[in-house]
Amino acid sequence: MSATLFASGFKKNLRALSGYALGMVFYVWLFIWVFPSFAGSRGLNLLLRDLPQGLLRVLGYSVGVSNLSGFLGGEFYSLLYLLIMGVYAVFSASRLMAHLIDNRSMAYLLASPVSRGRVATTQAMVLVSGVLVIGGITTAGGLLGAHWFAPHASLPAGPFLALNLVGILLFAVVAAYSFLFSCIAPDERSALGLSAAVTLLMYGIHVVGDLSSRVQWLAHLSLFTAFNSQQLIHGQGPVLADSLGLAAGAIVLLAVAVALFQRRQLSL
Amino acid sequence: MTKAYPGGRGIFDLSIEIPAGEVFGLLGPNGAGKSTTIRHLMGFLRPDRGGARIHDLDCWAQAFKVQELVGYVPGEIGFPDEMTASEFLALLSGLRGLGDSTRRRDLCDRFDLDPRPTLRKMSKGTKQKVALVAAFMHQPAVLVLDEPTSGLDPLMQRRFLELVEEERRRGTTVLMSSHAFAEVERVSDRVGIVREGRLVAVEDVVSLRRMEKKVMSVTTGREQDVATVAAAGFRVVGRRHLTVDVEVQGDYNAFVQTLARCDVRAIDVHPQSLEQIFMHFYGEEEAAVP
Repeated sequence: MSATLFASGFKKNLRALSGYALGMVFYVWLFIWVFPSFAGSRGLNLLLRDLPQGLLRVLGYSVGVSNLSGFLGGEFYSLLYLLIMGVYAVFSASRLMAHLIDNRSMAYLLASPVSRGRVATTQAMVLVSGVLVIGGITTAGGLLGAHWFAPHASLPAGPFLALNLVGILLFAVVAAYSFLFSCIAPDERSALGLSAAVTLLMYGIHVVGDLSSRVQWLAHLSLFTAFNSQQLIHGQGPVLADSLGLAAGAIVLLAVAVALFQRRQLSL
Repeated sequence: MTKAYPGGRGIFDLSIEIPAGEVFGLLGPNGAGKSTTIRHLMGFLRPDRGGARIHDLDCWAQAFKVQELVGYVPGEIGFPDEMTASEFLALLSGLRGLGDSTRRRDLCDRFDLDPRPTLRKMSKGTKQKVALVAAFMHQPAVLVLDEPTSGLDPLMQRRFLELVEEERRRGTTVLMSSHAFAEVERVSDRVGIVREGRLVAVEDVVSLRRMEKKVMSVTTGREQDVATVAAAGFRVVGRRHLTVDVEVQGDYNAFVQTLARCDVRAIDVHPQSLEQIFMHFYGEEEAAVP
Protein backbone atom coordinates (compact mmCIF):
# COMPACT_ATOMS: atom_id res chain seq x y z
CA MET A 1 0.00 0.00 0.00
CA SER A 2 1.14 3.57 -0.66
CA ALA A 3 0.40 5.99 2.20
CA THR A 4 0.51 9.03 -0.12
CA LEU A 5 -1.98 7.50 -2.53
CA PHE A 6 -4.22 6.30 0.31
CA ALA A 7 -4.31 9.77 1.88
CA SER A 8 -5.14 11.38 -1.45
CA GLY A 9 -7.79 8.78 -2.30
CA PHE A 10 -9.37 8.90 1.13
CA LYS A 11 -9.48 12.69 1.06
CA LYS A 12 -11.12 12.62 -2.37
CA ASN A 13 -13.59 10.04 -1.11
CA LEU A 14 -14.32 11.97 2.07
CA ARG A 15 -17.04 14.22 0.70
CA ALA A 16 -19.07 11.35 -0.71
CA LEU A 17 -18.33 9.34 2.40
CA SER A 18 -19.64 11.99 4.77
CA GLY A 19 -22.78 12.27 2.63
CA TYR A 20 -23.49 8.56 2.99
CA ALA A 21 -22.63 8.51 6.68
CA LEU A 22 -24.75 11.57 7.49
CA GLY A 23 -27.65 10.10 5.49
CA MET A 24 -27.39 6.87 7.46
CA VAL A 25 -27.32 8.65 10.82
CA PHE A 26 -30.22 10.87 9.78
CA TYR A 27 -32.36 7.86 8.88
CA VAL A 28 -31.43 5.77 11.88
CA TRP A 29 -32.32 8.70 14.14
CA LEU A 30 -35.55 9.25 12.28
CA PHE A 31 -36.52 5.62 12.82
CA ILE A 32 -35.61 5.74 16.50
CA TRP A 33 -37.55 8.97 16.89
CA VAL A 34 -40.76 7.62 15.33
CA PHE A 35 -40.48 4.25 17.14
CA PRO A 36 -42.50 5.18 20.27
CA SER A 37 -45.55 6.02 18.14
CA PHE A 38 -45.33 2.60 16.42
CA ALA A 39 -44.71 0.67 19.59
CA GLY A 40 -47.81 2.18 21.15
CA SER A 41 -49.96 1.09 18.22
CA ARG A 42 -51.66 -2.15 19.20
CA GLY A 43 -53.53 -2.19 15.91
CA LEU A 44 -50.32 -2.50 13.92
CA ASN A 45 -49.08 -5.42 15.99
CA LEU A 46 -52.43 -7.16 15.61
CA LEU A 47 -52.35 -6.59 11.87
CA LEU A 48 -48.81 -7.98 11.65
CA ARG A 49 -49.89 -11.07 13.55
CA ASP A 50 -52.47 -11.83 10.87
CA LEU A 51 -50.07 -11.61 7.91
CA PRO A 52 -48.41 -14.80 6.53
CA GLN A 53 -44.97 -15.58 8.02
CA GLY A 54 -43.23 -15.52 4.62
CA LEU A 55 -44.40 -12.03 3.88
CA LEU A 56 -43.43 -10.90 7.36
CA ARG A 57 -39.93 -12.27 6.85
CA VAL A 58 -39.61 -10.28 3.63
CA LEU A 59 -40.90 -7.18 5.37
CA GLY A 60 -38.58 -7.90 8.29
CA TYR A 61 -41.30 -8.14 10.91
CA SER A 62 -41.15 -11.79 11.87
CA VAL A 63 -41.13 -10.90 15.56
CA GLY A 64 -43.40 -7.84 15.54
CA VAL A 65 -42.54 -4.28 16.51
CA SER A 66 -42.90 -4.34 20.24
CA ASN A 67 -39.30 -3.31 20.92
CA LEU A 68 -36.81 -0.89 19.34
CA SER A 69 -34.43 -3.69 18.35
CA GLY A 70 -37.12 -5.44 16.35
CA PHE A 71 -38.24 -2.20 14.79
CA LEU A 72 -34.74 -1.17 13.66
CA GLY A 73 -33.90 -4.68 12.51
CA GLY A 74 -37.13 -4.91 10.55
CA GLU A 75 -37.33 -1.41 9.19
CA PHE A 76 -33.98 0.23 8.86
CA TYR A 77 -31.57 -2.69 8.56
CA SER A 78 -33.67 -4.73 6.17
CA LEU A 79 -33.92 -2.10 3.43
CA LEU A 80 -32.51 1.42 3.79
CA TYR A 81 -29.25 0.27 5.35
CA LEU A 82 -28.76 -2.27 2.55
CA LEU A 83 -29.63 0.31 -0.08
CA ILE A 84 -27.26 3.02 1.16
CA MET A 85 -24.35 0.67 1.81
CA GLY A 86 -24.94 -1.07 -1.52
CA VAL A 87 -24.96 2.19 -3.46
CA TYR A 88 -21.76 3.33 -1.75
CA ALA A 89 -19.96 0.03 -2.37
CA VAL A 90 -20.96 -0.28 -6.01
CA PHE A 91 -20.36 3.37 -7.01
CA SER A 92 -17.13 3.85 -5.10
CA ALA A 93 -15.67 0.62 -6.41
CA SER A 94 -16.23 1.67 -10.00
CA ARG A 95 -14.86 5.16 -9.34
CA LEU A 96 -11.69 3.92 -7.70
CA MET A 97 -10.46 1.80 -10.61
CA ALA A 98 -12.62 1.65 -13.76
CA HIS A 99 -13.20 5.40 -13.78
CA LEU A 100 -9.46 6.10 -13.62
CA ILE A 101 -8.78 3.62 -16.41
CA ASP A 102 -11.63 5.07 -18.46
CA ASN A 103 -10.48 8.68 -18.17
CA ARG A 104 -6.82 7.61 -18.48
CA SER A 105 -5.68 9.25 -15.27
CA MET A 106 -4.57 5.77 -14.21
CA ALA A 107 -1.60 6.39 -16.53
CA TYR A 108 -0.25 8.85 -13.98
CA LEU A 109 -0.51 6.44 -11.08
CA LEU A 110 1.20 3.72 -13.08
CA ALA A 111 3.85 6.12 -14.39
CA SER A 112 4.93 6.74 -10.81
CA PRO A 113 7.34 4.34 -9.15
CA VAL A 114 4.53 2.51 -7.33
CA SER A 115 3.87 -1.01 -8.57
CA ARG A 116 0.48 -1.94 -10.02
CA GLY A 117 -0.10 -4.28 -7.11
CA ARG A 118 0.42 -1.46 -4.63
CA VAL A 119 -1.79 0.95 -6.60
CA ALA A 120 -4.66 -1.57 -6.69
CA THR A 121 -4.20 -2.61 -3.05
CA THR A 122 -4.26 1.02 -1.97
CA GLN A 123 -7.44 1.75 -3.92
CA ALA A 124 -9.03 -1.37 -2.41
CA MET A 125 -8.10 -0.12 1.06
CA VAL A 126 -9.68 3.28 0.31
CA LEU A 127 -12.87 1.47 -0.70
CA VAL A 128 -13.03 -0.88 2.28
CA SER A 129 -12.12 1.86 4.75
CA GLY A 130 -15.14 3.77 3.41
CA VAL A 131 -17.44 0.82 4.21
CA LEU A 132 -15.89 0.70 7.65
CA VAL A 133 -16.34 4.44 8.26
CA ILE A 134 -19.98 4.50 7.13
CA GLY A 135 -20.79 1.31 9.06
CA GLY A 136 -18.94 2.55 12.14
CA ILE A 137 -20.62 5.95 12.16
CA THR A 138 -24.02 4.28 11.71
CA THR A 139 -23.33 1.99 14.66
CA ALA A 140 -22.31 4.88 16.90
CA GLY A 141 -25.23 6.96 15.60
CA GLY A 142 -27.70 4.14 16.39
CA LEU A 143 -26.48 3.68 19.96
CA LEU A 144 -26.36 7.42 20.65
CA GLY A 145 -29.74 7.97 18.98
CA ALA A 146 -31.38 5.27 21.10
CA HIS A 147 -29.88 6.82 24.19
CA TRP A 148 -31.08 10.32 23.30
CA PHE A 149 -34.42 9.83 21.57
CA ALA A 150 -35.79 6.61 23.06
CA PRO A 151 -34.14 6.15 26.47
CA HIS A 152 -36.85 3.78 27.63
CA ALA A 153 -36.82 1.52 24.61
CA SER A 154 -34.52 -1.48 24.61
CA LEU A 155 -31.60 -1.68 22.23
CA PRO A 156 -29.07 -4.08 23.73
CA ALA A 157 -25.59 -3.01 22.64
CA GLY A 158 -24.12 -6.49 22.12
CA PRO A 159 -26.53 -7.76 19.45
CA PHE A 160 -26.64 -4.30 17.84
CA LEU A 161 -22.86 -4.32 17.50
CA ALA A 162 -22.97 -7.86 16.08
CA LEU A 163 -25.59 -6.79 13.56
CA ASN A 164 -23.44 -3.89 12.42
CA LEU A 165 -20.28 -5.99 12.30
CA VAL A 166 -21.93 -8.52 9.99
CA GLY A 167 -23.40 -5.63 7.97
CA ILE A 168 -19.99 -4.02 7.49
CA LEU A 169 -18.43 -7.35 6.49
CA LEU A 170 -21.31 -8.11 4.11
CA PHE A 171 -20.69 -4.85 2.31
CA ALA A 172 -16.95 -5.41 2.37
CA VAL A 173 -17.78 -8.43 0.20
CA VAL A 174 -20.13 -6.41 -2.04
CA ALA A 175 -17.36 -3.79 -2.35
CA ALA A 176 -14.81 -6.52 -3.07
CA TYR A 177 -16.63 -8.11 -6.00
CA SER A 178 -17.52 -4.64 -7.32
CA PHE A 179 -13.82 -3.80 -7.09
CA LEU A 180 -12.99 -6.97 -8.98
CA PHE A 181 -15.36 -5.94 -11.79
CA SER A 182 -13.86 -2.45 -11.65
CA CYS A 183 -10.38 -3.91 -12.22
CA ILE A 184 -11.29 -6.04 -15.22
CA ALA A 185 -14.24 -4.35 -16.95
CA PRO A 186 -13.53 -2.66 -20.29
CA ASP A 187 -15.06 0.61 -19.07
CA GLU A 188 -16.66 2.28 -16.09
CA ARG A 189 -20.22 1.73 -17.26
CA SER A 190 -19.87 -2.00 -17.59
CA ALA A 191 -18.13 -2.20 -14.21
CA LEU A 192 -20.98 -0.28 -12.62
CA GLY A 193 -23.65 -2.27 -14.48
CA LEU A 194 -22.13 -5.62 -13.58
CA SER A 195 -21.71 -4.79 -9.89
CA ALA A 196 -25.21 -3.35 -9.62
CA ALA A 197 -26.72 -6.33 -11.46
CA VAL A 198 -25.01 -8.91 -9.25
CA THR A 199 -26.01 -7.03 -6.10
CA LEU A 200 -29.66 -6.65 -7.15
CA LEU A 201 -29.79 -10.27 -8.24
CA MET A 202 -28.50 -11.45 -4.87
CA TYR A 203 -30.97 -9.24 -3.06
CA GLY A 204 -33.80 -10.50 -5.26
CA ILE A 205 -32.87 -14.13 -4.63
CA HIS A 206 -32.78 -13.43 -0.91
CA VAL A 207 -36.25 -11.88 -1.00
CA VAL A 208 -37.78 -14.67 -3.09
CA GLY A 209 -36.07 -17.36 -0.99
CA ASP A 210 -37.62 -15.83 2.13
CA LEU A 211 -41.14 -15.75 0.71
CA SER A 212 -41.95 -19.43 0.85
CA SER A 213 -40.40 -22.53 2.31
CA ARG A 214 -40.67 -24.23 -1.10
CA VAL A 215 -38.00 -21.92 -2.56
CA GLN A 216 -36.04 -21.43 0.62
CA TRP A 217 -33.05 -23.25 -0.88
CA LEU A 218 -32.66 -20.23 -3.19
CA ALA A 219 -31.76 -18.04 -0.23
CA HIS A 220 -28.57 -20.04 0.25
CA LEU A 221 -27.34 -18.67 -3.07
CA SER A 222 -27.49 -15.12 -1.81
CA LEU A 223 -24.93 -13.23 0.20
CA PHE A 224 -27.70 -11.28 1.89
CA THR A 225 -28.88 -14.43 3.69
CA ALA A 226 -25.82 -14.06 5.92
CA PHE A 227 -27.32 -10.78 7.11
CA ASN A 228 -30.55 -11.75 8.84
CA SER A 229 -31.11 -8.46 10.61
CA GLN A 230 -34.03 -9.69 12.69
CA GLN A 231 -32.11 -12.65 14.05
CA LEU A 232 -28.89 -10.76 14.56
CA ILE A 233 -30.46 -7.91 16.48
CA HIS A 234 -32.08 -10.38 18.84
CA GLY A 235 -28.75 -11.96 19.54
CA GLN A 236 -29.33 -15.01 17.36
CA GLY A 237 -27.50 -16.37 14.34
CA PRO A 238 -23.95 -17.62 13.82
CA VAL A 239 -22.23 -14.23 14.13
CA LEU A 240 -18.69 -15.54 14.38
CA ALA A 241 -18.97 -18.02 11.52
CA ASP A 242 -20.73 -15.49 9.28
CA SER A 243 -18.16 -12.81 10.09
CA LEU A 244 -15.20 -15.04 9.42
CA GLY A 245 -16.73 -16.33 6.20
CA LEU A 246 -17.54 -12.84 4.91
CA ALA A 247 -14.12 -11.44 5.86
CA ALA A 248 -12.37 -14.34 4.13
CA GLY A 249 -14.58 -13.88 1.06
CA ALA A 250 -13.75 -10.18 0.86
CA ILE A 251 -10.02 -10.80 1.20
CA VAL A 252 -9.99 -13.51 -1.47
CA LEU A 253 -12.02 -11.38 -3.92
CA LEU A 254 -9.75 -8.36 -3.40
CA ALA A 255 -6.62 -10.48 -3.82
CA VAL A 256 -7.98 -11.89 -7.09
CA ALA A 257 -8.85 -8.35 -8.25
CA VAL A 258 -5.32 -7.09 -7.55
CA ALA A 259 -3.75 -10.10 -9.27
CA LEU A 260 -5.90 -9.64 -12.39
CA PHE A 261 -5.13 -5.93 -12.53
CA GLN A 262 -1.41 -6.68 -12.42
CA ARG A 263 -1.74 -8.74 -15.57
CA ARG A 264 -4.13 -6.47 -17.40
CA GLN A 265 -3.11 -4.81 -20.65
CA LEU A 266 -3.94 -1.13 -20.50
CA SER A 267 -4.21 1.21 -23.47
CA LEU A 268 -3.80 4.33 -21.38
CA MET B 1 8.59 -6.00 -30.24
CA THR B 2 5.48 -7.29 -31.89
CA LYS B 3 1.98 -6.57 -30.64
CA ALA B 4 -0.83 -7.50 -32.99
CA TYR B 5 -4.36 -6.22 -32.58
CA PRO B 6 -7.42 -7.50 -34.42
CA GLY B 7 -7.88 -5.77 -37.77
CA GLY B 8 -4.21 -5.85 -38.70
CA ARG B 9 -3.24 -2.99 -36.41
CA GLY B 10 -0.43 -3.01 -33.91
CA ILE B 11 3.36 -2.94 -34.13
CA PHE B 12 5.39 -5.54 -35.93
CA ASP B 13 9.04 -6.49 -35.38
CA LEU B 14 9.70 -2.97 -34.28
CA SER B 15 13.30 -2.63 -33.15
CA ILE B 16 15.03 0.53 -31.96
CA GLU B 17 18.02 1.12 -29.75
CA ILE B 18 18.52 4.58 -28.33
CA PRO B 19 21.92 5.20 -26.74
CA ALA B 20 22.06 7.11 -23.46
CA GLY B 21 22.02 10.85 -23.96
CA GLU B 22 20.41 10.78 -27.39
CA VAL B 23 17.27 12.67 -28.38
CA PHE B 24 15.26 10.39 -30.63
CA GLY B 25 12.22 11.53 -32.58
CA LEU B 26 9.58 8.95 -33.43
CA LEU B 27 7.69 10.18 -36.44
CA GLY B 28 4.63 8.81 -38.10
CA PRO B 29 1.08 9.59 -39.12
CA ASN B 30 -1.79 9.05 -36.69
CA GLY B 31 -2.43 5.39 -36.01
CA ALA B 32 1.05 4.31 -37.13
CA GLY B 33 1.87 2.69 -33.79
CA LYS B 34 3.82 5.43 -31.99
CA SER B 35 1.62 5.43 -28.89
CA THR B 36 1.46 1.64 -28.82
CA THR B 37 5.26 1.54 -28.83
CA ILE B 38 5.40 4.07 -26.00
CA ARG B 39 2.79 2.20 -23.91
CA HIS B 40 5.07 -0.82 -24.02
CA LEU B 41 7.94 1.30 -22.70
CA MET B 42 5.73 2.43 -19.83
CA GLY B 43 4.73 -1.13 -18.94
CA PHE B 44 1.04 -0.60 -19.73
CA LEU B 45 1.09 -3.26 -22.45
CA ARG B 46 2.88 -6.56 -22.74
CA PRO B 47 4.26 -7.39 -26.19
CA ASP B 48 3.23 -10.62 -27.93
CA ARG B 49 6.85 -11.17 -28.86
CA GLY B 50 10.06 -9.45 -27.92
CA GLY B 51 10.36 -6.86 -25.23
CA ALA B 52 11.50 -3.41 -24.25
CA ARG B 53 14.23 -2.48 -21.81
CA ILE B 54 15.22 0.82 -20.24
CA HIS B 55 18.55 0.90 -18.38
CA ASP B 56 18.53 -2.89 -18.61
CA LEU B 57 15.22 -3.19 -16.78
CA ASP B 58 12.33 -5.04 -18.39
CA CYS B 59 9.58 -2.52 -19.11
CA TRP B 60 6.75 -4.96 -18.33
CA ALA B 61 8.09 -7.10 -15.49
CA GLN B 62 9.97 -4.32 -13.71
CA ALA B 63 7.71 -1.45 -14.70
CA PHE B 64 7.72 0.35 -11.36
CA LYS B 65 11.52 0.32 -11.24
CA VAL B 66 11.59 1.70 -14.76
CA GLN B 67 9.24 4.49 -13.64
CA GLU B 68 11.83 5.73 -11.18
CA LEU B 69 14.00 6.67 -14.14
CA VAL B 70 11.36 7.93 -16.51
CA GLY B 71 9.36 11.11 -17.00
CA TYR B 72 6.30 10.55 -19.16
CA VAL B 73 3.86 12.67 -21.13
CA PRO B 74 0.90 10.58 -22.32
CA GLY B 75 -0.45 11.05 -25.82
CA GLU B 76 -3.98 11.39 -24.58
CA ILE B 77 -3.96 13.06 -21.23
CA GLY B 78 -6.47 12.25 -18.52
CA PHE B 79 -6.38 13.83 -15.09
CA PRO B 80 -8.33 13.16 -11.90
CA ASP B 81 -11.38 15.44 -12.31
CA GLU B 82 -11.74 17.11 -8.96
CA MET B 83 -8.13 17.96 -8.19
CA THR B 84 -6.36 21.26 -8.70
CA ALA B 85 -3.13 21.12 -10.68
CA SER B 86 -1.10 21.85 -7.53
CA GLU B 87 -2.77 19.04 -5.60
CA PHE B 88 -2.16 16.73 -8.52
CA LEU B 89 1.51 17.69 -8.91
CA ALA B 90 1.94 17.41 -5.13
CA LEU B 91 0.45 13.91 -5.23
CA LEU B 92 2.86 12.84 -7.98
CA SER B 93 5.77 14.39 -6.06
CA GLY B 94 4.64 12.48 -2.99
CA LEU B 95 4.48 9.20 -4.91
CA ARG B 96 8.05 9.86 -6.06
CA GLY B 97 9.16 10.90 -2.61
CA LEU B 98 10.29 14.33 -3.84
CA GLY B 99 10.82 16.66 -0.94
CA ASP B 100 11.87 19.74 -2.84
CA SER B 101 9.31 21.61 -4.95
CA THR B 102 11.70 24.21 -6.40
CA ARG B 103 11.97 22.53 -9.76
CA ARG B 104 8.19 22.14 -9.97
CA ARG B 105 7.69 25.85 -9.31
CA ASP B 106 10.41 26.79 -11.82
CA LEU B 107 8.70 24.72 -14.49
CA CYS B 108 5.30 26.25 -13.74
CA ASP B 109 6.87 29.72 -14.11
CA ARG B 110 8.54 28.73 -17.34
CA PHE B 111 5.30 27.57 -18.87
CA ASP B 112 3.28 30.45 -17.40
CA LEU B 113 1.18 27.90 -15.57
CA ASP B 114 -1.07 28.86 -12.68
CA PRO B 115 -1.58 25.53 -10.91
CA ARG B 116 -4.37 26.69 -8.61
CA PRO B 117 -7.50 25.99 -10.73
CA THR B 118 -9.06 22.53 -10.89
CA LEU B 119 -7.80 20.38 -13.74
CA ARG B 120 -11.29 19.84 -15.11
CA LYS B 121 -11.67 23.55 -15.83
CA MET B 122 -8.36 23.89 -17.67
CA SER B 123 -8.04 24.29 -21.43
CA LYS B 124 -6.30 21.63 -23.50
CA GLY B 125 -3.12 23.70 -23.77
CA THR B 126 -3.00 24.35 -20.03
CA LYS B 127 -3.51 20.66 -19.28
CA GLN B 128 -0.61 19.92 -21.61
CA LYS B 129 1.56 22.29 -19.56
CA VAL B 130 0.60 20.41 -16.38
CA ALA B 131 1.57 17.17 -18.12
CA LEU B 132 4.95 18.63 -19.08
CA VAL B 133 5.65 19.85 -15.54
CA ALA B 134 4.71 16.38 -14.22
CA ALA B 135 7.13 14.73 -16.65
CA PHE B 136 10.10 17.03 -16.05
CA MET B 137 9.82 17.89 -12.37
CA HIS B 138 11.82 14.98 -10.97
CA GLN B 139 14.67 15.46 -13.46
CA PRO B 140 14.45 11.92 -14.82
CA ALA B 141 17.27 10.18 -16.66
CA VAL B 142 14.89 9.22 -19.46
CA LEU B 143 12.02 11.20 -20.96
CA VAL B 144 9.27 9.45 -22.88
CA LEU B 145 7.11 12.08 -24.53
CA ASP B 146 4.09 11.17 -26.63
CA GLU B 147 3.14 14.15 -28.80
CA PRO B 148 4.36 16.55 -26.11
CA THR B 149 3.56 19.81 -27.87
CA SER B 150 -0.01 19.07 -28.84
CA GLY B 151 -2.24 21.94 -27.81
CA LEU B 152 0.63 24.31 -27.01
CA ASP B 153 0.82 27.71 -28.68
CA PRO B 154 3.98 28.52 -30.71
CA LEU B 155 5.62 30.42 -27.84
CA MET B 156 5.14 27.52 -25.44
CA GLN B 157 6.28 25.07 -28.10
CA ARG B 158 9.52 27.02 -28.29
CA ARG B 159 9.92 27.01 -24.51
CA PHE B 160 9.35 23.28 -24.56
CA LEU B 161 12.02 22.75 -27.22
CA GLU B 162 14.45 24.90 -25.19
CA LEU B 163 13.73 22.70 -22.20
CA VAL B 164 14.44 19.53 -24.20
CA GLU B 165 17.67 21.12 -25.43
CA GLU B 166 18.70 21.79 -21.80
CA GLU B 167 17.88 18.22 -20.88
CA ARG B 168 19.98 16.96 -23.76
CA ARG B 169 22.93 19.00 -22.49
CA ARG B 170 22.34 17.46 -19.05
CA GLY B 171 22.67 14.02 -20.63
CA THR B 172 19.01 13.01 -20.50
CA THR B 173 17.87 10.40 -23.01
CA VAL B 174 14.71 11.49 -24.80
CA LEU B 175 12.19 9.61 -26.91
CA MET B 176 9.68 11.97 -28.38
CA SER B 177 6.89 11.12 -30.78
CA SER B 178 5.30 13.48 -33.21
CA HIS B 179 3.52 13.61 -36.50
CA ALA B 180 5.34 16.79 -37.50
CA PHE B 181 8.94 16.65 -38.67
CA ALA B 182 9.45 20.36 -38.05
CA GLU B 183 8.75 19.76 -34.38
CA VAL B 184 11.34 17.07 -33.78
CA GLU B 185 14.03 18.12 -36.22
CA ARG B 186 15.22 21.03 -34.11
CA VAL B 187 16.11 18.97 -31.08
CA SER B 188 16.48 15.38 -32.27
CA ASP B 189 19.73 13.63 -33.08
CA ARG B 190 18.00 10.85 -34.95
CA VAL B 191 14.53 10.29 -36.26
CA GLY B 192 12.72 6.99 -36.74
CA ILE B 193 9.76 6.79 -39.04
CA VAL B 194 6.94 4.41 -38.21
CA ARG B 195 4.24 3.42 -40.60
CA GLU B 196 1.55 0.80 -40.18
CA GLY B 197 3.31 -0.55 -37.13
CA ARG B 198 6.69 -0.97 -38.78
CA LEU B 199 9.84 1.07 -38.40
CA VAL B 200 10.53 2.00 -42.01
CA ALA B 201 13.57 4.21 -41.53
CA VAL B 202 15.97 5.55 -38.96
CA GLU B 203 17.96 8.55 -40.11
CA ASP B 204 20.08 11.13 -38.42
CA VAL B 205 18.53 14.53 -38.64
CA VAL B 206 21.41 16.04 -40.62
CA SER B 207 20.99 13.61 -43.50
CA LEU B 208 17.24 13.87 -43.32
CA ARG B 209 17.54 17.61 -43.67
CA ARG B 210 19.80 17.13 -46.64
CA MET B 211 17.16 14.94 -48.20
CA GLU B 212 14.40 17.37 -47.43
CA LYS B 213 13.28 19.39 -50.39
CA LYS B 214 12.21 22.94 -49.76
CA VAL B 215 10.17 24.99 -52.17
CA MET B 216 11.57 28.51 -52.31
CA SER B 217 9.32 31.25 -53.66
CA VAL B 218 11.59 34.00 -54.94
CA THR B 219 10.08 37.37 -55.88
CA THR B 220 12.41 39.51 -57.95
CA GLY B 221 12.36 43.07 -59.16
CA ARG B 222 12.94 42.28 -62.85
CA GLU B 223 11.52 39.84 -65.42
CA GLN B 224 15.01 38.72 -66.39
CA ASP B 225 15.82 37.63 -62.82
CA VAL B 226 12.92 35.20 -62.95
CA ALA B 227 14.55 33.71 -66.02
CA THR B 228 17.96 33.61 -64.28
CA VAL B 229 16.57 31.66 -61.30
CA ALA B 230 14.57 29.38 -63.54
CA ALA B 231 17.61 28.64 -65.68
CA ALA B 232 19.94 27.88 -62.76
CA GLY B 233 19.16 24.17 -62.80
CA PHE B 234 16.54 23.94 -60.03
CA ARG B 235 13.23 22.26 -60.70
CA VAL B 236 10.68 24.99 -61.31
CA VAL B 237 7.36 24.10 -59.71
CA GLY B 238 5.48 27.37 -60.21
CA ARG B 239 5.73 30.74 -61.85
CA ARG B 240 3.63 33.90 -61.42
CA HIS B 241 4.65 37.23 -62.96
CA LEU B 242 7.78 38.24 -60.93
CA THR B 243 7.72 35.22 -58.63
CA VAL B 244 9.21 31.82 -59.32
CA ASP B 245 8.90 28.68 -57.13
CA VAL B 246 11.88 26.37 -57.26
CA GLU B 247 12.67 23.18 -55.41
CA VAL B 248 15.96 23.18 -53.47
CA GLN B 249 17.33 19.98 -51.99
CA GLY B 250 20.65 20.29 -50.17
CA ASP B 251 22.31 22.53 -52.78
CA TYR B 252 21.83 25.75 -50.84
CA ASN B 253 25.18 27.22 -51.96
CA ALA B 254 24.21 27.11 -55.62
CA PHE B 255 20.87 28.61 -54.73
CA VAL B 256 22.35 31.52 -52.77
CA GLN B 257 24.92 32.20 -55.51
CA THR B 258 22.17 32.37 -58.08
CA LEU B 259 20.17 34.78 -55.95
CA ALA B 260 23.26 36.97 -55.48
CA ARG B 261 23.05 37.85 -59.18
CA CYS B 262 19.40 38.90 -58.90
CA ASP B 263 17.42 41.78 -57.48
CA VAL B 264 15.61 39.79 -54.80
CA ARG B 265 12.56 41.45 -53.24
CA ALA B 266 11.23 38.57 -51.13
CA ILE B 267 11.88 34.92 -50.37
CA ASP B 268 9.33 32.52 -48.93
CA VAL B 269 10.36 29.07 -47.74
CA HIS B 270 7.83 26.24 -47.79
CA PRO B 271 9.18 23.26 -45.89
CA GLN B 272 7.95 19.89 -47.03
CA SER B 273 5.17 18.26 -45.17
CA LEU B 274 5.89 15.01 -43.42
CA GLU B 275 3.97 13.18 -46.13
CA GLN B 276 6.31 14.59 -48.72
CA ILE B 277 9.36 13.47 -46.75
CA PHE B 278 7.73 10.09 -46.29
CA MET B 279 7.52 9.73 -50.06
CA HIS B 280 11.21 9.18 -50.04
CA PHE B 281 10.76 6.17 -47.77
CA TYR B 282 7.49 4.78 -48.91
CA GLY B 283 7.70 5.27 -52.64
CA GLU B 284 5.62 7.73 -54.58
CA GLU B 285 2.58 5.58 -55.24
CA GLU B 286 2.10 4.53 -51.61
CA ALA B 287 2.48 7.99 -50.20
CA ALA B 288 0.17 9.70 -52.64
CA VAL B 289 -1.95 11.12 -49.87
CA PRO B 290 -3.50 14.51 -50.46
